[in-house]
Amino acid sequence: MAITYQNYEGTLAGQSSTVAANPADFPPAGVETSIFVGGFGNNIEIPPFVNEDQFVVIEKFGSTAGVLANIRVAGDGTHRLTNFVPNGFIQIVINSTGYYQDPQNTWQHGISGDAAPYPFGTTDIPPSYVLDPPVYVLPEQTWDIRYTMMNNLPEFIQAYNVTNTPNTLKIPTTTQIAKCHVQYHLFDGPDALICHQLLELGIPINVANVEWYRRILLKSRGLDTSTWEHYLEVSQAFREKEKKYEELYGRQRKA
Amino acid sequence: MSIRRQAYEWRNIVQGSTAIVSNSGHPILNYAGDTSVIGRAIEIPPFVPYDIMVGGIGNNLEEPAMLRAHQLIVIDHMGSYPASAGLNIRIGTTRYFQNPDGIPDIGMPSSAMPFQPVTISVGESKLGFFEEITPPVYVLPGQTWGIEFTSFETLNSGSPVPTSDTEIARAYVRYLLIDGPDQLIAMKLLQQNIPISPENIQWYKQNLIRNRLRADLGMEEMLEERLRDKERRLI
Repeated sequence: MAITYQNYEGTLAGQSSTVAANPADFPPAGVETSIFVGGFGNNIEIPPFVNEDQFVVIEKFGSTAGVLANIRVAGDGTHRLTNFVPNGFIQIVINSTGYYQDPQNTWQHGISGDAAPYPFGTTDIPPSYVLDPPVYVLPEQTWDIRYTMMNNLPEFIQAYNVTNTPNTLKIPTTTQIAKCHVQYHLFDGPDALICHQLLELGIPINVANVEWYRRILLKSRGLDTSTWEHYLEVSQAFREKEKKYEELYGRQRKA
Repeated sequence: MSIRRQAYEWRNIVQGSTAIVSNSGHPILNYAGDTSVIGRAIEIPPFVPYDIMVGGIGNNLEEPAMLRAHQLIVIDHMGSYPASAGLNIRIGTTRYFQNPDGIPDIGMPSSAMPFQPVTISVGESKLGFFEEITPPVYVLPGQTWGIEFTSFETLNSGSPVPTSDTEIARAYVRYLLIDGPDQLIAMKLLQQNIPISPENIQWYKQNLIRNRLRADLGMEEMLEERLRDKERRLI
């Protein structure tokens, strides 16, 4: 399992169909939130970090499409929110550097869900945005996918509750507010070393090239354990020979 | 991160009831208790080109797009909506798309290069045919550039509150941003009339490395040759 194709899906959904929604439980509009450790939706415990024996190539991502929130609240008097489009953008961050910058060279929110939609479906418009060339994350680097919602859900919860007082808006768990998805190749162990070698040689890092390089290495017996033993024996014999010459011929440094 | 795939998206929607532009990028959209958006889709008059970056409508930047000395971009894809609109690329004061008589026109129509909202669920426009610009357009260091959106007809007359994504005009441009050492390589490729693409930049880089190795080997051989006649002694 030295080359694996990994993915991560972040989902932000409602929390209860009976308890009133708390605006603080949803990301504020216009603020970037990590889909891994941002504190909203499903999270992991530590931020993504590429170990010293790993190499990551991010190849594809997407998020919920749409601009207007297209808000729908159940008309049965339960005040349950059944639809909300986030109008979101995705930014890739490596260490403290944002991948996407706008034409005035400043940090931007990234790629919209309209340009790179997720979920994929047979009737979806093909994505306008394709991450080509892919993004390399090197060992010892942290990386992150930050999602920004531009439709203000916390504000809407408050506005709805004011308009419909004393009834309060509920967001059931079945209501999915936003979805983000990222796919990447994880190279680890010897394959991560090969990735480095390819990087130094200016060769694109992808599965085909890593396997090609591995084939070349194996052909030249580069990774065979018996080869290492052979080299060790040869170098030891050479050392012995040098020692013997020094003793027999009195070979030494000249003054 | 010296070759990056970037994109810029523009929409004619702004927040509130009076603004026509959001200079800090895409606006935060608030919603009233009755679920309507507190924002407007700004009216676009016919046959007036608007720069999608600093044109004064919708989400804008604070300054025009200009490339720094260490940057080069390759514009290879764009799209717009609705079907009655088109996009033109402006570099300095020159428009890329022009009529057969040499006069710039509205550019590439949305019907040829669409960027559709997801709310369109059926029909021909759902095809999402994304034609690429071949050959792509290069914007060189120090040049200013922009994308101009022009409509054949009045859009969003009276700047109404939109109720669907299909009522929002939009434009999209995708480009490669090449900076740092890769930009130097890109300029070399340009001088040699080789298309600038990530593949060709990589190829050039590989050749550089290969030639450097050969040069190093050559130096070693030359040194050996020179020292061949010299009396060797052990150090």
